[in-house]
Amino acid sequence: MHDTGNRLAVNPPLNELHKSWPSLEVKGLTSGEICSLTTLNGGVATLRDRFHKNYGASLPTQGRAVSFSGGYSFCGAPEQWFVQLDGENAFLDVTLKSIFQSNGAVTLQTDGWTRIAIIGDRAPQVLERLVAIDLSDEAFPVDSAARSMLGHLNVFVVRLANARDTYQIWCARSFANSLTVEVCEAAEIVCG
Amino acid sequence: MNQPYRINGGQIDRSQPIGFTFDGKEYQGFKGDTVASALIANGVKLVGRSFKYHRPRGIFSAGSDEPNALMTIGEGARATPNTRATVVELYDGMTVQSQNRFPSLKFDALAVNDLFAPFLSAGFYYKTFMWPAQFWEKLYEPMIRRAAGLGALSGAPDPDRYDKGFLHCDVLVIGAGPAGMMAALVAGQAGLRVILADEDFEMGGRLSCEREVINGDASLVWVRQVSDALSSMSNVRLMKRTTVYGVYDHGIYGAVTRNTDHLAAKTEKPRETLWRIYTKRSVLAAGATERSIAISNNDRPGVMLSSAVRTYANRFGALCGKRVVVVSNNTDGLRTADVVRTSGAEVSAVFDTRQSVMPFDIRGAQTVRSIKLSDGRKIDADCIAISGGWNPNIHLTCHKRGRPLWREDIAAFVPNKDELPSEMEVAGAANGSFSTQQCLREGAQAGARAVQALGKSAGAVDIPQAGDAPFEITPFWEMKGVKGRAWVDPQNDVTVKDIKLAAQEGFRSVELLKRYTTLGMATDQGKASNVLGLAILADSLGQSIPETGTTIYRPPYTPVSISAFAGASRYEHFRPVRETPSHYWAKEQGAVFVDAGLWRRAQYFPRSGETHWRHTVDREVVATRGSVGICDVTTLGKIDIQGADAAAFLNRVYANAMAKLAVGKCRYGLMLREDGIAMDDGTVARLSDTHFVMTTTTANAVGVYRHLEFCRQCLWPNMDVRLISVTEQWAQYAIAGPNSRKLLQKIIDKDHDISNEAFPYMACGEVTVCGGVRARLFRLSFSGELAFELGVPARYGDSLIKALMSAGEEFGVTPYGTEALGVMRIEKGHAAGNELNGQRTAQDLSLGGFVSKKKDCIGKVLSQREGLKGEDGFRLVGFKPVNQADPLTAGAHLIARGNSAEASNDEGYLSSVAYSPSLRSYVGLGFLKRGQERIGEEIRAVDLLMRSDVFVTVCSPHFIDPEGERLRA
Amino acid sequence: MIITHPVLGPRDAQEFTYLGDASLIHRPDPEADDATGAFHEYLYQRENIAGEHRELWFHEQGDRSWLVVTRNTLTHEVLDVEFANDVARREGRSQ
Repeated sequence: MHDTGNRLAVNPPLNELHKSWPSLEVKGLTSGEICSLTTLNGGVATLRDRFHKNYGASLPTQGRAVSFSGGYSFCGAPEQWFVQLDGENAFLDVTLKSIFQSNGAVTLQTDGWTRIAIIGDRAPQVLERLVAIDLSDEAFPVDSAARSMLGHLNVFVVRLANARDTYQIWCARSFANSLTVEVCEAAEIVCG
Repeated sequence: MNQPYRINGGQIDRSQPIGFTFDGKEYQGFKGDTVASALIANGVKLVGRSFKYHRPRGIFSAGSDEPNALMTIGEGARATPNTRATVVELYDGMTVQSQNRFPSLKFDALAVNDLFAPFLSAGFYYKTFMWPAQFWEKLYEPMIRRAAGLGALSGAPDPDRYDKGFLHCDVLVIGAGPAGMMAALVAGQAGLRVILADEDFEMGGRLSCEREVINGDASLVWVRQVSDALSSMSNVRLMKRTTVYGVYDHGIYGAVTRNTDHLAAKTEKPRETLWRIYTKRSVLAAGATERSIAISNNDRPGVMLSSAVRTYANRFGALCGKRVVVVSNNTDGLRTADVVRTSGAEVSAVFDTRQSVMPFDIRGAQTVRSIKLSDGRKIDADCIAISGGWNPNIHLTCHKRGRPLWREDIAAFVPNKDELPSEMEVAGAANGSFSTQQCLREGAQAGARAVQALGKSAGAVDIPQAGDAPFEITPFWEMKGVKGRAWVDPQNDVTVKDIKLAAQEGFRSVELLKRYTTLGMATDQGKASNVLGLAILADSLGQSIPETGTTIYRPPYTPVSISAFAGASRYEHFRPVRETPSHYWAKEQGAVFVDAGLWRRAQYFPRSGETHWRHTVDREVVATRGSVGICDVTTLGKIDIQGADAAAFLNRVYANAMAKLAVGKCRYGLMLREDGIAMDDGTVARLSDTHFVMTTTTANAVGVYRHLEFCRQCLWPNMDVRLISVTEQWAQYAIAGPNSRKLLQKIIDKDHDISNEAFPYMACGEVTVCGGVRARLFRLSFSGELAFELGVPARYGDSLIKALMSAGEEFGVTPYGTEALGVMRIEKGHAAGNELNGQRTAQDLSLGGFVSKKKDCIGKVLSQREGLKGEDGFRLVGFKPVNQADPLTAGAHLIARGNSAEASNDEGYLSSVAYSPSLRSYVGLGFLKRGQERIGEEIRAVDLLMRSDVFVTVCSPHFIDPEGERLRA
Repeated sequence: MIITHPVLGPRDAQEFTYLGDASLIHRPDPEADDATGAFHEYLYQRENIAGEHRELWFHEQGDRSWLVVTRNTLTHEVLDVEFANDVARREGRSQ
């Protein structure tokens, strides 16, 4: 992310994180904006409809993810989604709110999360040291998202169809360092 | 002569010789040896001294059930005590030390204990060493502790790394003997996810230790074929050196893999990995453990389990003795005679106790020398191989309180099919089926049943042909008719005499027997001794074994190191750390940090020359109240609340009215628990008709969120309201002091008017800063000064603090931390965690009027109950020392002048105390009965723990600006 | 212990926090005559069941949904798991 003309510099978490091992890469994800979206006013049908009109994709069901041109979305809880759109827009929630209006509650979430990608053939083996849920291909195919624990941290794990050997780990921003340490320790043990 | 007891054969690799030391002396072994097998091959008989009596002891078994050969392996920080020599894989350069002896194994001074045996029988410490009473703690106990014991820890931090992991499978097979291998094969071939685990470093179970034939060939050929087949299946995970140590609920199993103990070069690899295995079905194929017979002096070096003698010969090419006596009450134990002969040694005598035999005493001290029959004849011997039968390894079937059943035909406990963990099958020797053919068949059947239970079909399976001889046994527990002590639990030094004494003294239940005699309580968890002890108890009570019962088994099956449970969570990684957006900036400023839950918060910012934290904190307070200060308050919980019913929802969860809060305004809120006690406080800001942001205290953020979701989902499911945490999304700074507005006017873009008229006290709104950066401004004051809180998306948190500091330079802006934050709120009289302590009500907090009379809220009904409405109730008030120089302590109790400092005169306590640089004295907040009516009274503040007793004046809790003029400036 | 979430499938109990008896869903009417007595019962009186027990768990580390779990307190078997939201509506909670 870069400064867009205002006088405050941007400081994303894990900007410089990029480590490699045989068959494995770990790097920080810093681009795009994220919002939360949940139903209001019983309007889930309207929500789905408007989402489809704007992004050409269907809002996923709980535990699933969907990619579309310009972003992706996953559903972490009943009628609660995260929507990630490419590009920089610290007012994205305002934009989305204008689309969904009284049928959707929207908040900006980009800054609330630290995101790490674990990439490669050995990603599942590394994840097996960290996360208790079953992340095998059968239990966690592409276009899946799950929220669980990684060590003592609460995380989302997201796996999109356009990057089948990439597992995104999302964790609250303030835990960035702790997340990095846990993931790199496991990577070192498995691949080092 | 090198390795005088080494014979041909075995699975050791003679092309890889290994040098090691035992008690400083050099020996040689081969790759594939355990420490025990190498010592046996070298003719070393004496390997330890017993726990209580310090009697010489030798290797007893060949497995993880070993009670005697406990060694300290390795040196320095890696020295690991109480390691069973029978399971340690030998590596080149290994140092092995025996334990519990001084000055040496051969000449142990404490062997004198054996002479005092009559005074050291079961429960001796309840009968002896009683007088004088003071001597127990000072003399007797330390003495007994030093005399008895196992190994010693190095005392150095563990240099190894440990790891954890989570595995998921369809079938977990525990034990890789013939039964387990068949089960894994069947399940693997059906395409299921299989884990096959074995504590050993080779697969095959007892097939490695006997001379079984499968499909006409040596059984190890079959073992290798099946291992290869299993290794080639990508859906099968083989885990050697892995003990499944515990069964938990719902298919959860605990296991530990030893990764590096067999390696000479210790790498960065984790020493052990602790696994949590989630499985749908399991097959317990854990085999069986042989038990001994109680014979006079049966604890001498050279007295071993009959099957162990065969294991050392067949698997390790090591001879346990050259003149072996074989004693057995069953067909299996007698096989050792053939193995001894074909190994080139002599069988001195065979005692088949199924017919009547002459009893004998075992002679020799540091090694067996002979047996002496009851008619006086002596037979030379250097090894006694004893088989009292086999105990199926049922332990894991009992971890969920299953009680085993006694089977008379094999004289052993077997799993109770009706009390197994629901996902578990048992196969093979663990099930009481002892022939190889039975094991193969049962393993295949158990595997097939697991497959079917998961809705798949098991293909046709070829069950190989193997030996199927029946196992015949006549129970024989104790060789009576000879004087002399016979051991039952070698590790805890419990004899037949102890058991009979316990029964005689009334400890007749098996649970009491265990605890009174300590039988079965050693690190082998009774593998050598439980059943034998129980049988002897039954015999002395004249009862059957089923009537007498059994003790239960609990995890872990064998000891698991604490480091494995800790995993990587050590030192600074013990728990995760949360860093605020200004963390790195604060570090650069030299801030001292404090833990607030998982958060690291700046506590104060010392400047050079300041030698005490009070200097710093006093300065921060003075500077903030005098000009302007900045504090990072990101850690307070922030919850975004939206929806048509958001206002109504807030009205129900807060004690005070919220629904009519105007857009663009904030309000302080007090939340009660349903029992009427104050739970948390915070602020609510209304950004639009249907959009609010609430704050909570840092400590209660998680709990409040959980509570609010409970209200939303369970109590009022049809309310149109949504909650989402935004604590991390927004970096938030408090800017406080008379120059705070002037500072902010340099940061906030000019199109936002933050004058007092446009943005009065308790206003809020969306603004932009620094040329269009999104922000939110709240005019809230925790300090009591003119103050604002400015929030920006956390990506700007670091640059904003720098911009604020730069803009504030002309005002002498001061960063302040949690200490100054705390001092200022106490000076202002704001309640915080110390006041909201889970016992105090709104009324106690002098906020009784806050609880709206016009509406319901959580806690409203019970806040009105009789017990909480007494006239004599607490009120939150302030306290100043009468003597300005006196310090105050939080926790001091309030006693009226003239009353003695006793609980009956207790009228309240100080909850928060700070040195106030503004008043130049200590000030306190606290709860005093009828406090608001006693302003001006002088009262004692007595702190018996801190030894403080000072007079204080009761006053208003608002020490600073009680009229609130600064707030509204 | 495993709790099988109605949508997400089996999850380790570590992901959840326990509140108590599912009867907590039925908050008494604060306007009723004996509201104090009713709230006292609601908060402090429980059937200590040896057998099937309905209880509230919060999926704190997962989807933040409240669940009603039917668990046998003797065998620890989990017999049913439903969204508390659905249970609340079905059992008459509305606004």
